[in-house]
Amino acid sequence: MPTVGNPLTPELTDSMYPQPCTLVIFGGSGDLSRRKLLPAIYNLSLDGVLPTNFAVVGFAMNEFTDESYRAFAREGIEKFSRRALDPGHWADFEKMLYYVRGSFDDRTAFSKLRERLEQLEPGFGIPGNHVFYLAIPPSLIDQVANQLQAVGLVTAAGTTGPFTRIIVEKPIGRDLESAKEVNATLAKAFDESQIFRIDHYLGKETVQNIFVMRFGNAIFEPLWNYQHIDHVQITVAEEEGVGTRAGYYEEAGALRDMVQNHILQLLCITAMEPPWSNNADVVRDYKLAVLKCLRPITGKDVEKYVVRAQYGPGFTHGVDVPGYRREDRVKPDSTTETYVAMKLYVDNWRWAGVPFYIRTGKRLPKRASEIAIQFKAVPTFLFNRRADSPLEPNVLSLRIQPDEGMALRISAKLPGPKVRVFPVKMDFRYGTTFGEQSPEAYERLLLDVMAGDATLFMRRDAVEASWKWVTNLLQAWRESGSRWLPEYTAGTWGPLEAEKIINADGRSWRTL
Amino acid sequence: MSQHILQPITSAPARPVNVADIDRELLEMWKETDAQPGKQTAITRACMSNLVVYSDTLDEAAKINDELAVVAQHHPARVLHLIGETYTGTAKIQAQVSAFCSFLGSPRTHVCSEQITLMAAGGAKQRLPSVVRSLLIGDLPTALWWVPHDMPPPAGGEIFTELTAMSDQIIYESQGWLEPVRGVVTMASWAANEKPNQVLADLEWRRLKTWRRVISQALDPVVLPGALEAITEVRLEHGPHALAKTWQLVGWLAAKLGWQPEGGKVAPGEQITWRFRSGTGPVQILIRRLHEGEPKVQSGSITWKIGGQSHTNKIVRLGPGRLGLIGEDPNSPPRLQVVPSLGRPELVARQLPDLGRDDLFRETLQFSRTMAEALLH
Repeated sequence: MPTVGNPLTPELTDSMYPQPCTLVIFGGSGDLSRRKLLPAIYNLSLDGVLPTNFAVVGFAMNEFTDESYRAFAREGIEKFSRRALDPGHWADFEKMLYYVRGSFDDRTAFSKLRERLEQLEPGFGIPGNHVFYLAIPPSLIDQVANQLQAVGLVTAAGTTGPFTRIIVEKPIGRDLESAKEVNATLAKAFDESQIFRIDHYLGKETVQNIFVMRFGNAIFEPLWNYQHIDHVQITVAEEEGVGTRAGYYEEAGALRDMVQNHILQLLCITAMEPPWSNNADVVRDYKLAVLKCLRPITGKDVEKYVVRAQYGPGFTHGVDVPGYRREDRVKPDSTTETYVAMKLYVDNWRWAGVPFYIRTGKRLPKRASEIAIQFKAVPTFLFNRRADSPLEPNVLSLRIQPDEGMALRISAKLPGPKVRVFPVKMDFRYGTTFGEQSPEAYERLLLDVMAGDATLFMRRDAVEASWKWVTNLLQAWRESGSRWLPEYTAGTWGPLEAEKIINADGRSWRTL
Repeated sequence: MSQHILQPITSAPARPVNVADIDRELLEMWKETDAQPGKQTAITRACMSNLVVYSDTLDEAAKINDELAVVAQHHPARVLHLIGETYTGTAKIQAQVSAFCSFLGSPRTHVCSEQITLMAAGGAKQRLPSVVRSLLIGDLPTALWWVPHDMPPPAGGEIFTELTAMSDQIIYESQGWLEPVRGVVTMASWAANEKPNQVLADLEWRRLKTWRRVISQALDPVVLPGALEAITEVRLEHGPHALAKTWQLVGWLAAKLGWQPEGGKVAPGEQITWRFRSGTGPVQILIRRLHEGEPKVQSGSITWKIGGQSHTNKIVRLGPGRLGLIGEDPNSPPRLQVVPSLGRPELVARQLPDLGRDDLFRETLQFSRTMAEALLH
């Protein structure tokens, strides 16, 4: 925990106090490292928030030396860092980057890694604390966890000695059974308190702000229930197609790729009860409670409440784009969904009868993610008497990306002698209000791991609860047999079937 | 990749206005900005706080004026810049309004803040708070940035008292106090009696953050078990005008480790030594002033004794923006810690959103007074 016995740092108990450690990146020469992890570490270093006693070791099969790994890191940082590379700072930064070459199935390579750590760490004043980042395919998690344990690089949890923490990327499995297997594999080598399952969505500034907005203001929470909320819409729209991820995406699809993790996490933060503490496990208990309250959608209800579709050919910004089944590395008869829309319910007192409509897809008109809370209409008196022109209901929209912020739609009187009501938006934008560049989600999350704060990471029970719910849908789809999916034109907001789901309730999807 | 970088692009020229017409003139100014022919930019007036800035003289005000644009760039605010004494003559207050604009990523999106400058002439300084009161935007936090730097802020007298009464936060800088020891005592006494929820911030304390971090981590019990309890000597060297800051660093360390001052000695302009008593024995502190160099803590060493053997860690500046921690192993390279190179306006901008009381700073300030008293008696 952050301040074990250090009287000089008690003031830091409530903030981030990253502890001395070596960050070992398995898959250190991969795309995630180059585009996200190394730039994130570089930015943390520029901000002066990394521990004084800190080093990074990349581990992968590529033929790198320390020097060539530094060149690899530099190239990634130059291209993908949110701040330009400063040659002066780089000269210092690169001294903390090292590389160990090895295969994940080679015990000797892991022994070599251990020796390298033992050799490097005294010079950096690192007391044997290790953070292992698994930037590798899920199929290799088992191997790496076993090897780490076999060479003695996993310390016991809950002791006062050096710590071991492991960061695991999604996907954790591809259904409930496989997720359980991955978790069981991890549990053989690591205690749950040592495992940090990362979902970078949770590191986004605006996602964290939902928590603050809900529980740091007195005006929203009293309205945050079935008595005042008509429905909730969660949209995660992507403008791009599958691109270079076709291999993975063919196996995953939108439900596994987006709904099971990102969207259900957004839903949890939106729907959870106020936790009684900021403690990681308390917050995660309350999020888990939401997942447990999700009404299962099974059997024939799946067709009724869930729509899946694939993008067909169309235009993005006026440019021709191919349909999904014409993309590279996609089977011509693929039935992988690139779009999912659904209606679901959280069966508890607070959300009784309030539908949550969620949608996500690729090749939609724009990249936009938001949570919209639509409030119930005011009674039909005064300004709301004409049934053919009802007042626009109040909507609180929480924009996650881009243009992070929130807006509240309210009704106002148009200037003039007559009483004419017009919907106006009160808009808060992070960029224009705070004027500061937000750190990347990975920066925040890496610091949290170094500090031992698991609040923004997925706990085993939550991962399995979300897979349990999603697996019902997967099972129904599987049972329905392979068939052509509905198509939507690339560059549109999805298939007609998705409109029907919401229109049937007298509501409509928001225009983003 | 998309960049979201603020860059200053324009400042609307200051225009003189009547004090009573300031709000109206500001509205006019924004209308004109919006109505520029052919304008294709979206302009957002942003305002997170009221920032009241007090300068004593025109010279001081001129220096600070450029910095205000930078502060507003990072922390959009309604800036009220007060200048205590301009020239002698009839007692009156002159006012002018101006704007700062930055663009956000796209040159078509501007974020603008406004500045109101109030200049008191002929002894009209005491009237300034009444104007400030009428110009504060309600429901926003108000910060006072007290610029005069040769004396601690309470020496500003009545105007300081009046301005602090309407402020949630008071920002000052102890760098350059002519009498640092008395300054520490004055500031600590004042702080002990101020409003409990008011935020008090010395920019010098903020600048010490990296030093505190390095010391905390260098001697962390996980890294060097037992070292913190066994410290026997601390030596610090500082450049001119950095005594108050170095003092705070010692105050912080001593307060957190539970040391009690037992006496000390001042060699004016040269060095100060203290004798402290820790739980395990005496601790010698020496802070020495270098005759040249930047107003910073320049280097330090911490010695501890375990099992009859002395050990020393050194902290040195390795160049701009870099602190190096040198352990005992001569073969190990220094461990580096970046000191973010923030100018004064960036520091102020970072302080402004910190609306929580910094109890550690208050504790350090009070302990620093105890240390001063140990020397004065």
